[in-house]
Amino acid sequence: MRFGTLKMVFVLIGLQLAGGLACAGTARDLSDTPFEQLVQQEIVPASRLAQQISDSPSAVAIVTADDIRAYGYRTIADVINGMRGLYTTYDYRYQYMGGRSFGVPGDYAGRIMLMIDGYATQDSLFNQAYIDNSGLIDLDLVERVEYVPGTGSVTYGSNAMLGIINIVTRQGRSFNGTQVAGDVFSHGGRKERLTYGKRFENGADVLFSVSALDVNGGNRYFPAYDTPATNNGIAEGRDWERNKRLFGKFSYEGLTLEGAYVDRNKAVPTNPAYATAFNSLFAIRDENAFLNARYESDLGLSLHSSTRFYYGQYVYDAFREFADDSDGEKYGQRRFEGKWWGLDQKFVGNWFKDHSLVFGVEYRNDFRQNFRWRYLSAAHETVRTVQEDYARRTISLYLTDEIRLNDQWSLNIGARYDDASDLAPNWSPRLAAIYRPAAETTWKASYSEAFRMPNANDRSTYGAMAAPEYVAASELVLQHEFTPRLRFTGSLYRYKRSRQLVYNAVADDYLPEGSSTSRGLEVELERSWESGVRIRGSMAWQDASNVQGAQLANAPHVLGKFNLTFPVLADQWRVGFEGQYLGSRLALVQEETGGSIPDQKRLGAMALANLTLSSERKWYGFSASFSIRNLFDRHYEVVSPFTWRPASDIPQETLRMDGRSYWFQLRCDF
Amino acid sequence: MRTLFLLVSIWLAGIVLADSGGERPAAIAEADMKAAYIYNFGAFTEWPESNRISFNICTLGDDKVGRSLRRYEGKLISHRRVVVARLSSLAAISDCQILFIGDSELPNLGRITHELGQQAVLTVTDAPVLSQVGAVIMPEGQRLAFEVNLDYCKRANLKPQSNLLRLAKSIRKSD
Repeated sequence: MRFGTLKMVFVLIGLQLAGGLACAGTARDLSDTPFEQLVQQEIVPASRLAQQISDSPSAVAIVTADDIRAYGYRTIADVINGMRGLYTTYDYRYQYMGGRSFGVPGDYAGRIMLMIDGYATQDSLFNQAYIDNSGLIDLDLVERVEYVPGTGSVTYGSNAMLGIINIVTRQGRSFNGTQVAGDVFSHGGRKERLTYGKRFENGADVLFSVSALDVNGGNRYFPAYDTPATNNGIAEGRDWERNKRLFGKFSYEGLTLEGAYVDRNKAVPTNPAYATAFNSLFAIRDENAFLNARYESDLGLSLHSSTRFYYGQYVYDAFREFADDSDGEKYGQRRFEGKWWGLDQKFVGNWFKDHSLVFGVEYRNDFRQNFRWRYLSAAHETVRTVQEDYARRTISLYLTDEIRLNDQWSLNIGARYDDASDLAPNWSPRLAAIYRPAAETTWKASYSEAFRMPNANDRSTYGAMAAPEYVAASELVLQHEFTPRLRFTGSLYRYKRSRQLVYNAVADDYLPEGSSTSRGLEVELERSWESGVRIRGSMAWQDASNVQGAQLANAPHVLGKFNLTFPVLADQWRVGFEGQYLGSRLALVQEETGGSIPDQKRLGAMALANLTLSSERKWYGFSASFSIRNLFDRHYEVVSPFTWRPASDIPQETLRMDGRSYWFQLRCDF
Repeated sequence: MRTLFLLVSIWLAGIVLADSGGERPAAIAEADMKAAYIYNFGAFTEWPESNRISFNICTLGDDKVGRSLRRYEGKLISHRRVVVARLSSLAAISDCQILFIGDSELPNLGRITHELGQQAVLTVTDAPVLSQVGAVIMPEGQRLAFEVNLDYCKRANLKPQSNLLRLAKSIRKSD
């Protein structure tokens, strides 16, 4: 993308904004119209499309429970891949998200926040949001997923630097009974789930769910290890995965108690570390859990209070076998553990005419951030143990004022102050203007600054050099509803990241002196029909650069999404078709061997399609879904996070992904 | 790449210009119109004597209508200043003069009516549950219509004026 073109788009949009302003004066003041005339007035019916619930002035993407069923989504990563301007990258350990100004797998953790019913789920060591089978929630329990691109630090502080995934879980009453579900899928996978949900006469709502997943995984081939010494590149039976999940929610009047637990075990077939032996057991375990208690009440008519207490914990276990054990260390064991709790008191005050104030204070105590490395001999005796401990206490204050200027204009001004025990205090401001020239049209312009604190892993890796990182973001959003069933969303943005850690050869250390810029444009059209047909199509163009000013790795210039769903067979079944286009993107620069720096590989553009058939009705309580992912069996590769060369001297800058795969789910309600 | 970009910007421009060029009068959003109806319900009803300073219009479970109502803040209804409250719980509903109950709070309707008893609170919804509330707003073609439950109003000691009842699509009355 050339900047000249972008400038032109800005000018165009500015012109339209001015045009809108000019005719804004014609809007009628409703409060002075006689009632006799009002009842004769035609109205613009409220949108029949899903509406965003977060009050963020950015171009929010929404996926509902209906979409989750129609398109056969099974993980948050599937949901993300269907959203405008977003994609994920898998390295056989985790799914990493990519989007505006971030694409490299290592850039994801700590910069995207994932919230479940208002609780920030990231662990306290890497600040990673888990979106695959290591994630906390079964998608069958999700009512909607909102992705809020851009900065969220004004509301949530650190970690919400580049975006927020907001998950709202279903109410017990939407199940109204017991549901059992059984899944079978490719690579020897199966899953069972039992869910109970009910709303009682007195208004109490209960939801409880337990599930287990087991994938055999089979063999995987990695060309970079295709030598006789490393089993000709075949990792045999080293891609298995298992998880167990628990979820519970109870709400009564203003009180909500919620808890979730996930324990995911996975074998990693890729050989993700330089020193480990290919085709040996490399097992990782991620255990995440939280408890969140919230009490909401109205203290009179003008003051609303929300009090929240939360407790969370995370455990990472890893086991690996080293290729070279001449130092007496044959196996490595890692156990990282994080525990935290926090208290958040938020108020919404409507004391003043045309002002809505949101303010509060949050205290968070990351009281345990422990890393332990243990090295074992061939006889499994401990040779060496290394341990590191960190902790952090953070106190935060926040205030936002939503100011209504008139029927067309409103402002949203806010700031959050975060003071962590080991860092200098930081302010994250946001200023937004919202303009509604007509009932169908909304413009939002915003400027915000956000930051990310160095996490425990950064402090362990970079020592004294670990420092906060910043972003300043500007965004212009247009939303227009042609009809209640046809909506256009457009967004133009520019992000400037600063104080990113880069290697400085003179200092021979990492210094926080890098900065980079990203800009882009996203457009989306969404339409639904009374008959149950729904279409959504989007395109995103972006120009993201790295700290050297070159194109950011794993950040395609163009992304396209197309989703279509319609009922078939007398409305008994529903078809969901998904098309995803990912433009060409750069792989990571590989480490040099023999003194030559290899060219950075460029992966070609690719298109994938998924097809799902799901039942719309229940027969004797039974319903079912069937999905084919990668429908046309495309052979494709994604950018690999690994940059070293194995003994074969073949670079491993890409990883091969699955061809066509199948999934079947049968549910029974009683 | 550049051409693509150009095409999209022209498309974008077209969408907006095509729409803003028309001469038709500015249509009113559904939520704004509902807010206008609610305000007028208040203005065209005789309210029992009260020593409150403010006239409280509350919404529960519908933030859009709540936001639209804000433009009436500070206006006067039976000599009292209008205050708009967007509630999130049932704790303060007795302090309201008008209570609009949105979709998401409909499951709690039974508890709301029980709690309010015969207090002078006009309950309004946009769901077809006239027998349980004071007034219902519903779409009728391209317009909005409303129905009034006089039995409810009588119990709550509210007197809708004749020029309000004249505009109602229907009136529920047992005798």
